[in-house]
Amino acid sequence: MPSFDPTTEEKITDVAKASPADADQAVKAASNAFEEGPWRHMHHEGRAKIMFKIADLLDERADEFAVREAMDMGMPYRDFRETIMPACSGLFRFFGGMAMQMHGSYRESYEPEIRIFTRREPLGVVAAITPFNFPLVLSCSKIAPALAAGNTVIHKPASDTPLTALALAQVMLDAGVPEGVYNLLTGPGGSLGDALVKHPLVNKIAFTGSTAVGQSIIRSGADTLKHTTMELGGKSPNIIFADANVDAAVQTAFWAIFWNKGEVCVAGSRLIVERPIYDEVVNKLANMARNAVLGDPLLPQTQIGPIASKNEYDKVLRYVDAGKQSKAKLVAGGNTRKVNGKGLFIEPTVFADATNDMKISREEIFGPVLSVIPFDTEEEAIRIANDTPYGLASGMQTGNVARALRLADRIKAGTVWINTWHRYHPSAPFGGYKLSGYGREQGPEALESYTQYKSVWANLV
Amino acid sequence: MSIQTAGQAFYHDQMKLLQDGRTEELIDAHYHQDAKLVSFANVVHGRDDLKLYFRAYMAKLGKLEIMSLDNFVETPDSILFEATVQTSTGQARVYDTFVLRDGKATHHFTALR
Repeated sequence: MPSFDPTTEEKITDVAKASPADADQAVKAASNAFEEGPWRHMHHEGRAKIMFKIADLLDERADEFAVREAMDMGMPYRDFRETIMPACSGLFRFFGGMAMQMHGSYRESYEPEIRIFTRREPLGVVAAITPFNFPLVLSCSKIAPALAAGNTVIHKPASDTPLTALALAQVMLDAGVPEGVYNLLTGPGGSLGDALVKHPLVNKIAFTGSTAVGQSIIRSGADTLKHTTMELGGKSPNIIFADANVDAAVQTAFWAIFWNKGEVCVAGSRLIVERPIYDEVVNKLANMARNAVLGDPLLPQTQIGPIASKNEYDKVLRYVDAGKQSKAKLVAGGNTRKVNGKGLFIEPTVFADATNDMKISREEIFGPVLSVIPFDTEEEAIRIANDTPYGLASGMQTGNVARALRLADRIKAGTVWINTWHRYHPSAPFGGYKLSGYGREQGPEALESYTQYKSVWANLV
Repeated sequence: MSIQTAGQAFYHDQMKLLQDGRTEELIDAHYHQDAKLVSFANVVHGRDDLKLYFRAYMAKLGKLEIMSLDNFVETPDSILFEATVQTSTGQARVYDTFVLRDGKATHHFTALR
């Protein structure tokens, strides 16, 4: 199965195209490793040591991972080295530490001779089905807590961007992860995903991707009552109030939508701006968009790389066309671009004077396309922000702390950023409200979702 | 190549540091703070960006083995050479020119075929 470089539009290499029969073998290997192998019975500190080793190897091999991500999905090398890789190794360190805190508790019963204690146990086989847009970090955010809890893992990376998963598999081997504990399947999402979701020996599906595919996974997994964590789509609102530091707010708004070319589930794709500063914000944003450096993601000056695949590129362009045909005003971008005559580049695109009922404001575009919507009152801003089927992330830019905290209470989203955007930490839970999913990745809450409780009752008489 | 001149020493150290993956040292030792690297595809300006560029470049090449140094000329303030190299992605011919001031590059022009 070929893997393409979206910068050159040339094939990088071929990767194995696993079949449903391969998926079945992988699941059996993972199940056997869970039931018979050492991983789940290993002392927590033993698992932690291996996870810390994984983290160290990721850091040591950061350049290789960065080049793979740049060539495979167009993520700027600089962004990966400076932001993504520390998050990846950080996840293994955080959950390595959490592994040592995975303990149960003691409870009192009605009768004095009865003693109750609880144990936290791993679920079994976890299938981590990961997306194309942040191939490594969104794999680590599932694999690290799953392994920390003592589960075994089948990793199915996106078919368009599998190259860092291959390097991660080598890290797992080199770190001493026992046989069968981490299993990698590359290949088509539909047939492999279906095989994993329906397999009776798979206990949990950890999925990041579109809401439609997430819903399909939940339906398919219902017969075998799969545990699921769903990190799905978003259409995140970013509100700029007139009392904000406008220059800082514009910078934040720009990167909220255009980081990683807008191929980000938490992209701030709806910018809601208070009327007195609306024109200033639109002009400054449009100026930034026009001056953004599109180019080869391996080059240090590149700010915006190519769209990860031709399918995504075509999809984003359909939304750009929908925006052009609407009553919104195109103030920047709206075109494709070639770099050295090649590449799936789309200019950072800003539609001003949008309304929240437009297609470009309601549907997840997953590309560098921003809708800017004016508002007059705080109530109106909240109403627009919450008027979406999604609830993954949100943010506001304001100089008024009381207002910021008031809005943080009222916005229906799993993350609220105040005077910032795209901040992440392994300790902070991440996930969605509404059609953006359920369950949390990162933080102790994530570890919880990879374990189940057992109550043990002892009669001392 | 025996090392008898300052230019030859510069070339030798450039290749050795690249092959060893010591890109930070390479840039600090061989490039001025505001040095420019110019290729047909891009311009990289300044030591910080040069370090990132060479790290990515070397990670992409995987390895850099000099098969032959095909041409080498130097003046007191410049070096021009042509070499055949083997990398993990195949064999290539490289052409490099360095403009030097006080033994460090102010400009590095590079091409690869």
